[in-house]
Amino acid sequence: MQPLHDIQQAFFRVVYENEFSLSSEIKDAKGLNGESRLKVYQSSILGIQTDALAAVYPVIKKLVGDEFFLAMGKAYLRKYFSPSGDLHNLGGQMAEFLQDFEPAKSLPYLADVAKLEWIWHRIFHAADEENLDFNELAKIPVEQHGQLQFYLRDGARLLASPYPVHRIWQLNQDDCKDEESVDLDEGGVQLLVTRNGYEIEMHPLNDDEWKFLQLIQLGVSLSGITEKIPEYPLDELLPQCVAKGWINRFEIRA
Amino acid sequence: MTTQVAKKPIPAQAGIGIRHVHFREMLERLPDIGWLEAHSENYFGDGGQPLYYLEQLRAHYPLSLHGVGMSVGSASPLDQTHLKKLKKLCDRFEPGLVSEHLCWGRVGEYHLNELLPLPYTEEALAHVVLRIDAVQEFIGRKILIENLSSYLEYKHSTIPEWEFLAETANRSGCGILLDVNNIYVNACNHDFDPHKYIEAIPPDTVGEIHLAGFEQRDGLLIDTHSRNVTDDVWDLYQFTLEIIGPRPSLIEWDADIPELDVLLQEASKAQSILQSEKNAAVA
Repeated sequence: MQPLHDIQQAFFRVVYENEFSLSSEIKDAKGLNGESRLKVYQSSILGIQTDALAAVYPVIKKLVGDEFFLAMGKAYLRKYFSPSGDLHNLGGQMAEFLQDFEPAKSLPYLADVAKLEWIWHRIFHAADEENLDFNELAKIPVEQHGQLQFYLRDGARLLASPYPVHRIWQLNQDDCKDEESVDLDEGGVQLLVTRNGYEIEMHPLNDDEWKFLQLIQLGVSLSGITEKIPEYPLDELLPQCVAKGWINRFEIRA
Repeated sequence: MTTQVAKKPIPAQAGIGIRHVHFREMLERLPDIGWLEAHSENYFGDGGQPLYYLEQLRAHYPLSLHGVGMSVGSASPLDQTHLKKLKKLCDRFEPGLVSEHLCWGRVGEYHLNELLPLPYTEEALAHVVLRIDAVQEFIGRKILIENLSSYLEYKHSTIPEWEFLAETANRSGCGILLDVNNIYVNACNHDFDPHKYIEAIPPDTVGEIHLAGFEQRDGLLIDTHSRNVTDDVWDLYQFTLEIIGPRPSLIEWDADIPELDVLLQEASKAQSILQSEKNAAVA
């Protein structure tokens, strides 16, 4: 008799290594031997886990097709085992995986689409956040404005790609009526992905907005930003980012 | 949240499993249903739509939380993050019932994300009792443990499944979530009399009943939660109520999820069987 620990390790090898030594511990019955019974579980586990990946990466699935996605999902699962009993945590290394996945080499933008879908997934479940308290902000004396440090929403993420991943994402939504195709030569995109209430928003950013939000994310104060890049149109950028709800907290730096 | 509803126990009525596709329709219609059950892990996030909708629904219906990922039967240590998230969810929603499965899924720090059967041995029994104790201790309340469908049996099992389940409850102090469909599926897959199983379960340990539909594949019944409850399982449900008495009874439907009305019709069928059993008990 094998101890519990060994049986469970052997089960794991059935699923990901196709190694069926555990079969000898399983009863043959009704014309089904141990191996065929273990295969039912192998198929069910890989099915549950690839379904979970498909739920997080619907655009990738649409781009590569069902059959390719299934094979790709299984290859992913053999490399990155599921980290948790909560399936929402599965799939976090997809972008990294796709960069090295030989059969997908002809689709170089896939990894960045995967980054965008993972960001979407995490933001969907991120903590609810308050909007910026304008009354508190209005109380800050003008002489302290340079010390103001603003913060992006905790759930917000910046993503830059040399490919038009935002358009690729949009055109592959189920409710997209736009029948245009994306030209990869149309160039890359700088995106802010954030949540407005419970809806996820993606905002393509111009160079000024991108650099500004990057500096904010790095923790640079307003006077620091002005020192670094004096020509920045801060008077326009700050109110605009605040009004759009991208920035929701501030503090006075000593 | 209306705490009057929030703190109500789960009634001995029919309930349905709540899935995100039905959130909005449920809130618009507020159908007459005894209670709702949610998969705990679907609400482990820090915020967002799922928790928002669950909170809205919680104001109208008693709620049960049903976990699929705790893996009380794994030889590996319990996942502390998973435990903390469950506790946080229980503290926030004050569910009438909290349940997990008599199974394993975790290996080392990884997870197979399926409800996998244990060998029914003294070793596994002692282990699972300790782990259920630890979960109950951590979240500060009693849980129910559900019997699962299985597609294999280990040669070295020495204890019948029904005795293993009853003894798990006896030794750990947990209750039992009796899945009648799973008993039927296992009776067909492993060739035993499902009535004998139900008769072996101490009635006062049973806190909830599950009903669902299965599919037939490769010579086995597979518990897919993707179909209507079959006539044989309805008959077995009636038998269960006669032996055990009326209990909160849930219609589970987790794949190929149909229109809400289909779930409500199944629940209404369960409710009428429950009601006739209650009437018979009074008479």
